[in-house]
Amino acid sequence: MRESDINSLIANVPKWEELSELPTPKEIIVGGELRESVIRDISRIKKEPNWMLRLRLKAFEIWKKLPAPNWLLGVEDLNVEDLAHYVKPAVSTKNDFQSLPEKILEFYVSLGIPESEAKYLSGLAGVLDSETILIRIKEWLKKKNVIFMETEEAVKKYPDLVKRYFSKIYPMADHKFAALHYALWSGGAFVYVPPNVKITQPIEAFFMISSSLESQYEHTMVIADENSYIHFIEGCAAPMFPKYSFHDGAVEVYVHRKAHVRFTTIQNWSKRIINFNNKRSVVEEDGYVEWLEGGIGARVSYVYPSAVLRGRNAKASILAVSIANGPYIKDSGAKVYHLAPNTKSEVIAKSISSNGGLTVYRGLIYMAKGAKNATSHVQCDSLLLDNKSRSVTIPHNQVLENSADVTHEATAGRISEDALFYLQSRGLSEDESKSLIVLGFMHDLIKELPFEMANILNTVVQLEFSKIGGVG
Amino acid sequence: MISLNELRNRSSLLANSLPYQLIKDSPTIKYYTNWKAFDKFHLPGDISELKEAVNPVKLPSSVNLLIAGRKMLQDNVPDKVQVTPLNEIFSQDIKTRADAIHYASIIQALDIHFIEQSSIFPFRLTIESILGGDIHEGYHVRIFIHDKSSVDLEIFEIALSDLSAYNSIIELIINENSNVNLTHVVISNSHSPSMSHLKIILNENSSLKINSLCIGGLMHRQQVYSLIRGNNSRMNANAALLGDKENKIDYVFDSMLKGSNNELIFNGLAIAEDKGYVSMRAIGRISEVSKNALVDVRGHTYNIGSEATAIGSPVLEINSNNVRLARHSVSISNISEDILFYLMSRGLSLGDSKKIFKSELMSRVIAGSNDYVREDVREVLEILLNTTLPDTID
Repeated sequence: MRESDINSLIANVPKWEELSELPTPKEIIVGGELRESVIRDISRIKKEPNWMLRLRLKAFEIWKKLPAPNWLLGVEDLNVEDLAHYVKPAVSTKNDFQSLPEKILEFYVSLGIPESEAKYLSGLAGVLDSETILIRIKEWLKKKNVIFMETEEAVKKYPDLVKRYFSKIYPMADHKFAALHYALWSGGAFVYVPPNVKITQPIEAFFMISSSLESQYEHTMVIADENSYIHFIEGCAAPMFPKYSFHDGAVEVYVHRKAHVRFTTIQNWSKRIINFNNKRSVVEEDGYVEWLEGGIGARVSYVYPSAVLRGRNAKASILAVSIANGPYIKDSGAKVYHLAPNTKSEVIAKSISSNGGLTVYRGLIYMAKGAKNATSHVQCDSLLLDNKSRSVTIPHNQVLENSADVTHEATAGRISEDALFYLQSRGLSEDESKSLIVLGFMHDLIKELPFEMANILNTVVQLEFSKIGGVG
Repeated sequence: MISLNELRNRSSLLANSLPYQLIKDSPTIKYYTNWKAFDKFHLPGDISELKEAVNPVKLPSSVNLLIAGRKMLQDNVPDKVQVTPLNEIFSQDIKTRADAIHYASIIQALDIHFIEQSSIFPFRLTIESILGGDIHEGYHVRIFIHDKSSVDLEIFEIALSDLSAYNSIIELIINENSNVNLTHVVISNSHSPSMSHLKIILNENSSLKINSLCIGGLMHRQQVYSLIRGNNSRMNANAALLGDKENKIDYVFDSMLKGSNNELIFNGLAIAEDKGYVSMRAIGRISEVSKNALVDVRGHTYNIGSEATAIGSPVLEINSNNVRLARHSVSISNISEDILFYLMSRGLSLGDSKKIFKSELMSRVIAGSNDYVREDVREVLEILLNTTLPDTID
């Protein structure tokens, strides 16, 4: 991107006050002190079955008992009771873009979502605040009996299927914010892929938060039955708010025998969002889960995609790239539990710290007794772009099986002066040179994305390191 | 400064009210030391009434300084080394129960000064636990290496009394333009817990090479904390840990670089065998004021027991972008089948092949040391482990 292009982009950036909120009318807002009546209100509004209300109330009791984690940085001002727990936009779930309110459609168009959906997606779910407002699914998926709908609808239509997996992969007692999530969850997508069905074009869920002091507890589930394949993409965006908002989402993925799930996230929240994203998967025999994670936005982000490899020959691959550009914290990593023989995992984590950013890699590889000949390789690379930024790598490897192999390697270093000089001597500005180097560093992730999405990510990274990156 | 007696009294009051460790419950940092093992031991009362439960081990090589219980033997302390009882200590901020137990249970405390321009090859210090009565048995040694000195230091910590819980803090302060080769051997018994803490400060233009061996222990916690604060200083640390039978070792190496052109290289090897448990954590930190630092932290653990547990965690914390190199790696595996095949094809049984492999691994740590250091370590290990080691050990 040339200087002239950047200047034209800057000229077209909306004014701060225009950016600060999405003008979407709200139908219901539930906030205030977090009491049992709040949980009951949400459940009543959603007209959900009793078993789900009981589950919420149980989670609420756990939330009250569990201590707050004392290791989290950058969330000192987070008080969930200051936030709206549930925000229902004044729009029902639609099946086409044209039925959406004009301002929301404009926002989708500005993000290129309708175009992407037409070109390379087989399904799309749009979540705004606490509700799913758009579900689109291609006909051929319906013919193959693929279930793709908002999670609430699946709770009502397919209770047995949902009960089998819901909160089983990501337990509510995992930590305080897990319990909070289950007490207040709302919105999200549910996908079930029947045996032997391969979904060749990805399905995407796109999350938006429209205003400040909101919380979003979306719950997404992907169930891939035997010998099936799905690529699920998750994207997110929010305008710059005057105050913060909170995303405490969850993704549960179940990979049955010989199935393959690829789950990609491009997290591009604005720099006012506190992002907790809990991603868990269970993988059965010969199954394969891939987590591809690109964390660009958010003020603070805690994300550790996890895999429990519980069938023989199960595999997990986790590729995470995070960028902390500015005084922000990106705490990411991966957790893999090897519980069965011949299981394999590979973790590649790349982080970039710039302008006072802090990136942290936290990882766990656990080899249980009996995970014979299991192998795992972890690689972490950190790039520091200036002397105000920091990087920390904290891997843990716990091996209880003596035939298992675990290797871990990591490097951290500053941006190469030689590379910067070379690029600048070819006429590129310092910002352009930096963004090119960062894109090279992120290549492992970008090459795994659909072409259109890779283009979007390229642009986002270029803008992030350009003058308008300061917008947030 | 605070007197040792006052510190002991203050620590006694704190010992039961503080937590053993000050760590946060992050998803990956866990308590790897079973602190409960220390709970059945109590603080010593009147030191003059303490009973000895075992005799000091007779080592073949003459030691320069031996402390065991209330005994202190000084044989051939060179002129340039001054040994005095330590009556005062820098005011300590006692934050953990482990620290409080140490200061409240000090049986002996010594100050050892290697005066300026010392050249000592080697100086042997042995610390032994010999007391009974289910008490915490603590030793505190402060070693000053003054400017422009060159010292080969051998420290043997032998915690063989199974009727006391051994603990120690050894402070090593290395002043400007000095070079130290430290061989540090810690051997613990399988019936009582122990903890050993080495604190190091490395000043300008100095270098430290540490070769550590840490063997056994019902629950042994070993900490090596270092601050490399001078410019152009280097630290090269090698450690070998052996957690066999039902022994447990929690080893923590933590180093902070604060100067310019500092280097830290850590290379750890560990073996978890039988029902043994070895946790090896190595942390390299580069502070925001550090320039052109090099940190390379590596660890390999061999999990060779059917019920053994191996934990590896190399941590990098980079707060400066002026870094020459920052790298870490860790791996955990069994012994390579090729190595076993090679040894067994030479007529060795599987058991003997593993023994040779273990000895070879432990010997790697002292491979670069002087002949007399290697011989000392070999002799000590043979006596303490009550076994004849294969030739590969030296």
